[in-house]
Amino acid sequence: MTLPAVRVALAGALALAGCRTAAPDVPALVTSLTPESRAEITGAVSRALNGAPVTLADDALTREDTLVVERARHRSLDGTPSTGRDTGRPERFRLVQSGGRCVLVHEASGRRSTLEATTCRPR
Amino acid sequence: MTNRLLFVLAACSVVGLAACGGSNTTQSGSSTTYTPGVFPASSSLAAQCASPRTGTDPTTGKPYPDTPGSSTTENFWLRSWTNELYLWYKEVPDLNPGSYATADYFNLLKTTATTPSGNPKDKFHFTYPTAQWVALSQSGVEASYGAQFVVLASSPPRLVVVAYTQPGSPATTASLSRGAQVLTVDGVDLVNASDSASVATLNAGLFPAAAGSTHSFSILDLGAASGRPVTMTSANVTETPVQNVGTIPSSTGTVGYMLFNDHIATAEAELVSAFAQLAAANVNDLVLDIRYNGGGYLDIASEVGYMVAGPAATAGKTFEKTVFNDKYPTTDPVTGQALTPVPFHSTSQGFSGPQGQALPTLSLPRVAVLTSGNTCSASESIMNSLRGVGVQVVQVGTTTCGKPYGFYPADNCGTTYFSIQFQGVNALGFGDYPDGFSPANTLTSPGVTVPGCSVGDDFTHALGDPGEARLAAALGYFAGQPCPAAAAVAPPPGVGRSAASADGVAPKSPWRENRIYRR
Repeated sequence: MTLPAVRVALAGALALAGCRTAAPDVPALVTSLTPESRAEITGAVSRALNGAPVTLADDALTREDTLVVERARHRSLDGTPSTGRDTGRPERFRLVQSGGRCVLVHEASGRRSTLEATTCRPR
Repeated sequence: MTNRLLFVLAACSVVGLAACGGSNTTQSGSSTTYTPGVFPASSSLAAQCASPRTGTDPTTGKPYPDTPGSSTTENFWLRSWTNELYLWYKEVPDLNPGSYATADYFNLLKTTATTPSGNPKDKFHFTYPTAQWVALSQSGVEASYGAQFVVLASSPPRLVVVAYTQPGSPATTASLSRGAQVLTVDGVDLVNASDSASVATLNAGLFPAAAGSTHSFSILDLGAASGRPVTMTSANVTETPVQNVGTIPSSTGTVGYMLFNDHIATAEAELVSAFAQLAAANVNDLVLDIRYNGGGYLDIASEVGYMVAGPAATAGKTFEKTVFNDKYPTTDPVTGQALTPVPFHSTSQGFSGPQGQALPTLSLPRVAVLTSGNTCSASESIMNSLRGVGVQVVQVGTTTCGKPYGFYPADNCGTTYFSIQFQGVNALGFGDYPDGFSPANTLTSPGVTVPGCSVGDDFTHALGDPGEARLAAALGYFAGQPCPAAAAVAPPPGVGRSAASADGVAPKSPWRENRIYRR
């Protein structure tokens, strides 16, 4: 085998390896939200946001692949929101299936958390 | 009188010379001198704490910056921070930080001026424990039954009714609906009980602190002669912020209606869907029901403004401009960015859906808003900003809360402080409505007067029902009819309330301040 041929073969092998490691992200939904998977998702969201405490819905990520997280509503005694004129933005997460695994992606940072105790299916 | 004077003198001797006329206050780990009129940079005084925190700050992911200090050093930080950022810093008395407990000192660091109506100019000066303030939740998720209770009378004889419910919640499973009156909670008489233990039971049952809390109630449904037993378990309920979207045929054409309860992230997608639905129905007018909407994201308010008014009225116009104190005429002092007005957003901002998609619009020259004292902040911005670009805003209901202000909450030593730092003004530069907006015929109008009708809340009809008093008055206004007399307002049947009292507080808090009182 000539040197150029070796180079071509090597490049092809690397390309194949690259394809195997970069499985595409497929939008996904949680198939069954157990206490374990809920705790796992809550923990992944909290870690992505520096450990802040997070409350999720009982059906989180079972109907939509996007999870929007914002500051819990704090209200004054008269029931109105404490601030009420918020200029910030919420945090967004996406659930994807990647290589058969469920992965939670934090959109702002790109941080990916593989969910071992959670089962999901393509949306 | 003599005793009071003796107490003041004794207090001075305990605090010491530094607090009562001296100028030097030395703390462990820091040395700070109080010189009237001289304000060191707050950044040089931050995080010098009486009780320093350890561990990781969840807002930064880094160790807490706290170092040993005292309540006095915390007060020094508050003094400088207030002088730098408070909207009315020139009206704040310069008090010796060594003379006060920190909570008391913060409460004094605000203007004592009053509005033309006699109300305090600053009604929004408060703190939260930082550990509570930093808590996050999935958008719209709160531990509750999914019933929005309205407290029409918080002390005996009390009156608590359901304003609306969330679809798929424990409340709808229990068949609670608007106008239902709560008679008992866990066996306690809600109307008449007056002892502390009973009041605690009422608050715990009505406003559960967490999911999984089960309580029993007696509920008097609209039209029922007696109460029925109901048991509900609180859950992490997801709010549906936009409800009851529909159209109403009228003599003036097709009128659109929507109930918009909260400027949370998930509202964006629901609002887009609602306005698209009404645009497809070719509505001639819109009734925007924000009587229970206390605000939230300002950018969502801007989107609503655009979807009401359309491109011709809003292109290149300011939705709201933020104004800080006179030290910062061009720059946001917290972010360091140049001050640029919030425009009327013509595309989605990506709160709960794709970013950059064209928003539907009704392009209306007028809109009716249904309001109450719970209509606040970003909701008032919708009204003010539409008025700023020439859209006629018709107000039906009662006076709004009067909150044209905003904050950048700041943590120091475990307490998050809220001190008014900016005011929102519309395209005309107007933002002076500290007493709220009031319908024109309000008998004792404390706020900025807006064309429309003063009408109390009507719990005998569903929200969106053309027979509901506020919606009916809006439809009548569109048709050129006079406002109804106040007596037309309908409190729940069997309740001898005046029209004015049929408008209450709608507490939504997951943070459980008591809403029910002994007296």
